[in-house]
Amino acid sequence: MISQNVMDGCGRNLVDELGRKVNRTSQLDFGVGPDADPAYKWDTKRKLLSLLEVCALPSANERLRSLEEVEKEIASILQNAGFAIQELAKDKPVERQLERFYAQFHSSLSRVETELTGHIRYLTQVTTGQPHEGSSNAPRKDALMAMHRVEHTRIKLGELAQLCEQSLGPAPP
Amino acid sequence: MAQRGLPQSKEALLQSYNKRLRDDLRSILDNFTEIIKTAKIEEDTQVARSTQSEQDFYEMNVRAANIVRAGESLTRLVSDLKQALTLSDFPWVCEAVALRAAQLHAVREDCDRRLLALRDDIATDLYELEEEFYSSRYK
Repeated sequence: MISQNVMDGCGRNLVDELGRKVNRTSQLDFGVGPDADPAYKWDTKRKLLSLLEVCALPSANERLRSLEEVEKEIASILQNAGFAIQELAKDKPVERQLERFYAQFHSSLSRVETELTGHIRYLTQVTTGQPHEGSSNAPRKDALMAMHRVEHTRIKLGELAQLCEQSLGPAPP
Repeated sequence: MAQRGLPQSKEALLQSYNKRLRDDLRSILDNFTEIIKTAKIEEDTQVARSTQSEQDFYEMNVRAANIVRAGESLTRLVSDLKQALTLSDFPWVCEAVALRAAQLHAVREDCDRRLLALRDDIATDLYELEEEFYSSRYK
């Protein structure tokens, strides 16, 4: 009898412990939880290395940002050319304004030329012409298999907890 | 400019970038200069003044359109350069692949570490249960 009570108590503790363990596997930070999609859908949820993640690399980000600045410079070239011609079209054009717009036009033009030439020179140095054959598929497969292991463990623990609940009946209030 | 043994296509591509850059910038500068020159009022003209002004008007329109076209072509060049940098920058792609592999490796390590901790906990509980079960009369 004592052993039966102890067994019940142990069983109850086990159910509680199993419940805690199930929750612990669910809290693994893969964006999945008790109500989340099953494991076979995780790979579709995992973000592949998007361009944004690639751009998080500092060197890549700097180069792309400088190209964005070049695009703005190109727009300012056209704008300053337009302003200069507009100033010239007036009945009484102000020479200082005209010279200022022309100077800005010319400096933007030089900056664009310098920047783009630098980028093309860099590309000449780093381009190999051969396709890059590196991939992160192997570590990705390993990570996916690890997540499958976790999911499998979670399912098994859930089943065990359910079995214990059925055997021992609902917990007393 | 150090050019290693690049394939002809890549070399031609890079040279085309240079050519496009030079042509577009020259087009902008030349057309702008010609517009300024055309704005100069000449007293002696071979045709009537109204005809000359019509011609100048048309010429300025065409040159302005050329400037805009060259600007758009430059923007397209910048877009091509961005694409080339993303796809052909070998050191950058190597770094990106290595970073991604390290991230995935860390995920796998984390999963395995937690599963091992779970296994140890469950083994401890199982030991206690076995102790209780095998020492009772219900075995």
